[in-house]
Amino acid sequence: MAVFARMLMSKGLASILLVAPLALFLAVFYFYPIAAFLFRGVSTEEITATIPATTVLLREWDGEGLPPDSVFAALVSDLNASAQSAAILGRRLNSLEAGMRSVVRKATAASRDLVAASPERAREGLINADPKWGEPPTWQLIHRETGTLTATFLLAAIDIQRGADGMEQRGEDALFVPIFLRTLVIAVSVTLICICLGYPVAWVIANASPRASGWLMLLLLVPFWLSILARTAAWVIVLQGTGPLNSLLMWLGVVDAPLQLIFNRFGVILVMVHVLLPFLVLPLINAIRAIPKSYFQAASNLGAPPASAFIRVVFPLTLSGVWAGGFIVFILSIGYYITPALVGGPSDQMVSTFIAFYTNQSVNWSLASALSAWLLGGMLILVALSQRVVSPMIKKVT
Amino acid sequence: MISSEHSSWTVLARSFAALVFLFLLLPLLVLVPVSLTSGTLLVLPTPGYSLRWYEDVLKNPIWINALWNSLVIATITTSVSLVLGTAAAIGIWRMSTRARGLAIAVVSVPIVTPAVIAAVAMFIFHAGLGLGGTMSSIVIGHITIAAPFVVITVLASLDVFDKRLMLAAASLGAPPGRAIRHVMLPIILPGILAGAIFAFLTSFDEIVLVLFLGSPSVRTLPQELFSGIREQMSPTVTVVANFLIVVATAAIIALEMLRRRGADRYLQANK
Amino acid sequence: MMRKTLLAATAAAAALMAGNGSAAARDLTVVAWGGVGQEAQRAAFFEPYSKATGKAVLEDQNPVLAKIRSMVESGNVTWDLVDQESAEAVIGCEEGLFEKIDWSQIDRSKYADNVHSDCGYGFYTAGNILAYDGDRFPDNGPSSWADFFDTAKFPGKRGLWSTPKGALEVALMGDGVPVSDVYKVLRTPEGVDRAFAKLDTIKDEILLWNSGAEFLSRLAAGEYVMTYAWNGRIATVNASDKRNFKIAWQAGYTYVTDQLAIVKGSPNTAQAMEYIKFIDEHPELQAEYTNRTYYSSTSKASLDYLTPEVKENLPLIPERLKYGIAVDDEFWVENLDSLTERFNAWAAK
Repeated sequence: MAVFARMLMSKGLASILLVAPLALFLAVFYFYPIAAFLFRGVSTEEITATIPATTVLLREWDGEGLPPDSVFAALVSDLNASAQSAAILGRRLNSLEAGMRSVVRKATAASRDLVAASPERAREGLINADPKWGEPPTWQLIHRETGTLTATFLLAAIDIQRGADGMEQRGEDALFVPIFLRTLVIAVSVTLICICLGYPVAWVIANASPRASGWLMLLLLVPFWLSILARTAAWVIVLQGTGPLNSLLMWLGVVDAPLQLIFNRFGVILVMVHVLLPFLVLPLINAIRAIPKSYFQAASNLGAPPASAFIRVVFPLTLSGVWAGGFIVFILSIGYYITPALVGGPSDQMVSTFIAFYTNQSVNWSLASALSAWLLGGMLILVALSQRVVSPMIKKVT
Repeated sequence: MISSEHSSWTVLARSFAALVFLFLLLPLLVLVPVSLTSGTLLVLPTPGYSLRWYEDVLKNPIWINALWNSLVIATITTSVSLVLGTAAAIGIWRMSTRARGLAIAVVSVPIVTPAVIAAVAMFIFHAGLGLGGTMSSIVIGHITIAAPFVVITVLASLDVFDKRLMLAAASLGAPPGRAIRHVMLPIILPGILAGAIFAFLTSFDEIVLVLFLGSPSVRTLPQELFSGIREQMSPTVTVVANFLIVVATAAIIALEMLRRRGADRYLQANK
Repeated sequence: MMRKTLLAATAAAAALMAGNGSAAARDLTVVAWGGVGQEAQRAAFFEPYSKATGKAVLEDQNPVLAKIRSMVESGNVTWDLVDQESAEAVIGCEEGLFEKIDWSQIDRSKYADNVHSDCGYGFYTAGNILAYDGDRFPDNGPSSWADFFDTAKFPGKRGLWSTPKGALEVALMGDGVPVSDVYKVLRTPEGVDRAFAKLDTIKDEILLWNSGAEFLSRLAAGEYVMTYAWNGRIATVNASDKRNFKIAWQAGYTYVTDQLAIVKGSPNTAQAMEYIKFIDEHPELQAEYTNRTYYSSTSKASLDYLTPEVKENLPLIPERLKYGIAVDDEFWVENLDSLTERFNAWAAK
């Protein structure tokens, strides 16, 4: 026991022992699952698991012309093994090339009669079921997606399609790039609106008497701690067609017919601002409180009118607080899921919604993973930029 | 406020701030009339008034079960997060400045990572472990996001803790374990309790992980609210929302009292 | 003291985690589409079944096929019985998402024709109709799907279900295709393009809904002036919320049978079959469901228990059938996936 106590005295070891349980817990239950999930974005496992025997043989194939008959026979037995696997294979391939679902479906139906057939018969039978099985590009597609790693999903997540004839950027029918841009636009708008609304609030709280500021903080914290769902329920009612806001607008004569305020971009941004505003105000209060009052007084004594004293002297001193709060709001809003899901329309959904969609609706975990990788990667770059570029700039200003 | 006490700027800022406070608080008021509706829709104006939805929430096992599940999950999450988080915070606090910065960065990752990514990753991981849809699955998920909050609040209270007190305890012959228990813990207790409240509310209000990790046999209050808003659109959600407003207000008042007590102690300790 | 409490809490947590590691022994979980439809199933089926067998029933909402796929594929099956429209029941059956029903236990001749499938026990038929707020259009309300697409004559937003099934049919009806020819046209690629083109004409005025409760409250809140809707919800909300919602049956409608399917990999397959048998043996409960929802029941015996008022308002009465057409399962089994993709892309733009 005494030895143990002495070991604890040694500073480094004790620290490590104290941190270890949480570190271990997070490593196993947080960082590992996320890493494993992100790996799915480049893994071919989801396809190879559906056709194990075919995969083994295809990996030995050189990719020229049609694969040997044994591959056809292996596919027949794989498709027969499980209707579910066959359905998964069809959906996966279809997401890479439209039309493959029915090609696989026909092969599945045909393979029921080909179980005991010779490899030659298996080939003929499959090509009979759908001529696509006699075309090299079909097999090259499967060959490419049954290798050890694939970049297909990472590319698909930024709308680059991989076909037989190389890469192609999707133009008109681009899906994900506009969604990433939309996510960015919503996050930036929410952040800017939060700064505009939050700054005066932080200013008033920071400069109020201790008693008043205590009360104002309470008022700020009630919505902060209130379940986001309770708040969303309130907004759903406030913003609806016959809701209080529309009734007020119509009573004031501002509009004749109710405005569409919810299930659109306006509703999403409004509710997100409502949820995230306290995250901006709290750090800003501290930044404003940290300004020595004498600065302001000095500027004023030198004859600067309050407005210019504020802009030239005080505002730059609070920039670090604006930056800290704005950065938190931005980072949090970029991953938003619940608010768009509840008060947004289909064209207001952000990247997170699609990650959820490809996980539990479309069951395309590889694509969900690839989208997550781009989202996390983008966030990491932004964090690094803010550390390296913006923070020093702010330090210089202040 | 300094020299511009009565300037038009101050008036302007205060009126603007008042409007923002209205924006933050006023919408919550609509929950009251809708919760008293006699109709079945989540809509204003109401066709009449009644207490039927309050009765419904109290009688319906769905809401009672959900509340119970949420309380159990939040309690276990808080207990485990407190142990893991407090220990880790003390460990981090003892580290060199550089190591401390790195540790805080790592611990903050779960706070800023989009919840959906963590939820999806855990959903797949837990299903593989055979934990899918169980309460354990939700508790594990919640600890990963609640414990970091404990670390950060406890670290904040350690920042104002005077290291010399530990040296004094050691020089008086107290072994480190005892010094931690009898000298350090009492002083940082408000920080730990604040961390507990943070952890509890984080778990109690959490929705994204629950949407992926939960199942019909373990539904939590936020999950019922989510489907209440999205699928059922029944006035019961406003009844529950009102209840949550009361809970949140109580929690904040508790936090505020802890903060004041902590400040008092700090002042006393530094007298 | 503190340490003891923490130790106790940790021990309790550990015990709990070890305790419920297995997902096996859970109550039968039945999943329907929320709102009054679900309440009616609770009153007509869940509660009587629990009373008769002493076994509890758990509930969930919105059993979309995609979610079931994800459950089966991830091996995380938390639903046992799901309420599926017939096309989805057939698709899921083909993909191995549902268990085959043991039809030797049920006498199919006791039911209307074409209500069951290999994996699906049909228990009610709903009409997908055009509904509007009668207070908003007291006279000369919309009476055809052409009116639905005519925003000059009827300004305001319209609601559609966020699935192509139904939306494409009414788009064609709105474009002048007679109700009986809808699927003939839809089976051609030009027909599908024509339907999407028609939807495009009022894209900005269309708001999609995801649940029955949603279209009701949005119609009530005045966000829609009219909507594609399930007939049962409209009939019941008028009574409960003093509304004056109207159904334009003569505009044309599709009808579809909802079937109960057993999710593959459910730990409660035997009990799920027992539940289906229970409904099969109690036509009076089926009638109870119909009396509460205004959806047609499937068992012939249940007709004897219906109230006259309900009988007149069902989707399948003879004088109404000339406006209606059964949803073509064969078409949707073949095309649901690809058209859903196209529809989602159309909606997200």
